[in-house]
Amino acid sequence: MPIESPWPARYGLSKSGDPTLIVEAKGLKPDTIRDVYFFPAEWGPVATMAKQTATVTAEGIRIPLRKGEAKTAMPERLAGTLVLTEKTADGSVKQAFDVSAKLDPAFVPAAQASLAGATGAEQLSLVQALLFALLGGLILNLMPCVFPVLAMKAAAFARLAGHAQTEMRRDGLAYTAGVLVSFAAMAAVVVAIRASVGDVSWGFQFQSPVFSLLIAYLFFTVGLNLSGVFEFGGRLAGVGQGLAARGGTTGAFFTGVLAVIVATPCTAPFMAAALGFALSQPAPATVAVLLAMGLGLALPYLALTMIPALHRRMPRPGPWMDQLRQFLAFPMYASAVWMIWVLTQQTGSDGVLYALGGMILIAFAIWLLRLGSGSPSGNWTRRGVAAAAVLLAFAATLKLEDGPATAASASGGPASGVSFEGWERFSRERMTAAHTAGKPVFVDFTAAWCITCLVNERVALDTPASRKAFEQAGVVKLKGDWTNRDDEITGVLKEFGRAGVPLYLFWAPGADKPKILPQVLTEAMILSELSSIQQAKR
Amino acid sequence: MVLETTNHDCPYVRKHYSAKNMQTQQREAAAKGVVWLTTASSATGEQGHVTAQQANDLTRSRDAAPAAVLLDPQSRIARAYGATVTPHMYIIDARGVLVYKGGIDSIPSSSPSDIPKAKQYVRLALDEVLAGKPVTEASTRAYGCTLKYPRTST
Repeated sequence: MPIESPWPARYGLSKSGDPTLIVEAKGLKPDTIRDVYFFPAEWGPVATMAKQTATVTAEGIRIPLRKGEAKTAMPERLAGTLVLTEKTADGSVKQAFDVSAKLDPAFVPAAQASLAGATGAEQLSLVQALLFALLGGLILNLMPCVFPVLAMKAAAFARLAGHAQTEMRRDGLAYTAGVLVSFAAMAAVVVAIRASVGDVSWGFQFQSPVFSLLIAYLFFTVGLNLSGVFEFGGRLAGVGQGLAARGGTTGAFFTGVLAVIVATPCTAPFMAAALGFALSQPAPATVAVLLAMGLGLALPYLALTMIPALHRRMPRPGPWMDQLRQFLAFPMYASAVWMIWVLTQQTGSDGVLYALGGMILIAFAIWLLRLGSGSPSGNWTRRGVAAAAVLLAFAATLKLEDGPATAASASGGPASGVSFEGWERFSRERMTAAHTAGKPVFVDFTAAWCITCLVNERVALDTPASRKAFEQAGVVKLKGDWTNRDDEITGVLKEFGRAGVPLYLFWAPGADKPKILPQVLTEAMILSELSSIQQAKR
Repeated sequence: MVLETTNHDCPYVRKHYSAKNMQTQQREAAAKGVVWLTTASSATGEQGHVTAQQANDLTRSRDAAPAAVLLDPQSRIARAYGATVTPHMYIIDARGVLVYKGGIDSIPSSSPSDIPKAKQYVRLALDEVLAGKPVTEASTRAYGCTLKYPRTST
C-alpha cells in the first residue's frame, strides 16, 4: 500500500507542454534506487503508458513525463503514485508513495532533447549510452579538473613538436592506452566492488581524504617540476608523477593514467546518467561504456598526434616552450589548492595543516636531493633525510584516517536528515547498560539516504500507537545514524552479518540475544513485539 | 473501420450490450458502409477467452451486428493497438489512419442508466470522419475491465 510521500513535490511544464515531476527527496543514494515510475492518478494530463527515464541524484528524483492526450489544462496539482525499488543490505525493497505535486510556474524544464534529459537512465540503449559516454569523455577535456593534466600534456607536446611523425604517433597511442587501461582498471574495480558489496558510487575514491591528500601532493610536485625547480632523473622514477613527466612512451602512458585519476570527480555530476546506466548494467556493458568514455577523453590528443595536417600547424620549438611550461605550473598549483579545499570538506581545518606541512616536507626533500646531485660525498645522509621527510609527509595520511572523514560531507550533502525526536543517540555502552539493567531496548540503525528506513519510521516506529506502546513498555529507544561513516555502528552491523542499514534490534528484558526484526516493518509487528514483553511481565 | 475489444463477462461490456447501445451503433455503422470488427482478445486460459463456437453463439444471443468477430487468443491485435481495457474503441479512416482511440462514451460507469446522459464519443467521431472533418475528440479516456493479456511470467 502506498504511504503519503514524506517529500515535497512539484512539477513544471516545458515549452512543449511536457510535464517534469520533481520529488525533493534530498540525500538519496542514487545508485541504490532502481525502477522509478510515476503512475498518474488521473487519465489525461500525463501519457500513462509512456516510458519514463527518471534520474535520481542526492537532490531528489526527477521524472520527465510526456503530456497526455486530454484537451484540458494541466491541473494545479498532479497526483499519482511513485513506485521505486531500493537496494538495501539484504535485498530489494519496493516502496510506493502517494505524491501530489504542485504546479510550479517558475520551473520550466529544458526540452527533452537536451543532454541531461536524454541521457536518462536505464532505458538508454547500449548504443546510445556508448555514444553519450564518448561525447562525455570529449567534454571531460574541458573540465577544470582535467585541465592541469592537459597542461602537462601540452607541455610535453610542445617538446615533441618538430620530432618525427612516428614518434608523435607512438606518443599519442601510448597516452590513449594509458587512459583506456585506467578506465578498464576502474571498471574492474567497480564490477568487483559491486559483486561483493552490491553498491558502489562513482567518484568513491574522492570520498577518501587520503586520496585527496595524495593527489594534492601529486599536483604540487608536478607543479614544481613544471616551474623548473627540479628535473626528474631516473632516481625518482617509480613514483607516479615521475613516470608521467618522463619523456617517451612510458611518460605518455602514465600521463593518460593521471588524466583519468583526476578526471573521475568531474565525471560524477556531468555524466551521472550514462554512469548510472553503466553501473546498473551487466559487467560487459559497464566495461564497454567506461572504455567509450575513456576513448572520448583521449580522442583530441590522439587526433592531434595521428593527423599530420594538424601537427604541421604546431609552432616551431624555441625558448617559448620553457616559458609555456613554467606558466602551466600555475594551473597545477591551483589544482593543488582545490584538492586541499576538498580535503578540508572531508576532515575539517586540520587537513590544511597536514597537507601544507606535507608539501613543505616534499619541497625540502626535493631541495636536498638536488643539492646532492652534484657531489658524491654525504649523498647517503641527504638521501636518508629526504626519504624521512617524504615519509613524514605521507604519514599525515595516517593521521587523516583517524579524522571524522565522511562520505556525505565530501559530496557537500547535508550533515544529517535523521530525526532524533523521542530517541536517544545510539552507543554500544548505552545499549549494554540499559540491557543489563533489565530494560527492554529497541535499536534502530538508519541513515538519511535510506528510503526504507524512513518509511519504516513513518509507518511503524514513529506512529502515535507505536510511540505510546514503546512508552508503556518502558523501552529504551536508541537510534544509530549511519548517514556518515561511523565505525562503531559499522562494527555492530557487521556483528549481525549486515553490510548496511536498515537493521532493527529488539532486546526483551533479560534476553541474552536481541531479536532481529525484518527490514520492512509494520505497526502491527511492533505492537505485537511490545505486547509480548508486557505479557511476560505479568 | 471500427475496432472494439470485448470480453463478454466484463460488466462494462455488458452495460453496453444489455442496453443495446453497442448493437445499435454496430448497425448504424454498417448502414453507413463502415466495417465494425469486434475482437475477443482475452488470451487462451484467461477469463473471457472464447472459442469460435462460443463467439458465434454470443453474437446470436446478444443480437450483435459486427462485420466479424476476430479471435485473438494471443492478444496480438490488442497489443498492436495498445488496448488496456474492454471495451477499448478505435476508428481507422479510409486511408488507414487511426483517427480515434478511447472509450465508447464519456461516463465511466457500469450502470446502463448512464448511457443516455453520456456523450457517445465513437458515434460523434464516426460522423465527423464520414463528413471528412477532423475528429474533435480524438483521444479519450478508455474505461472498462483490464484486458486479459497472456501471462508473460509465472
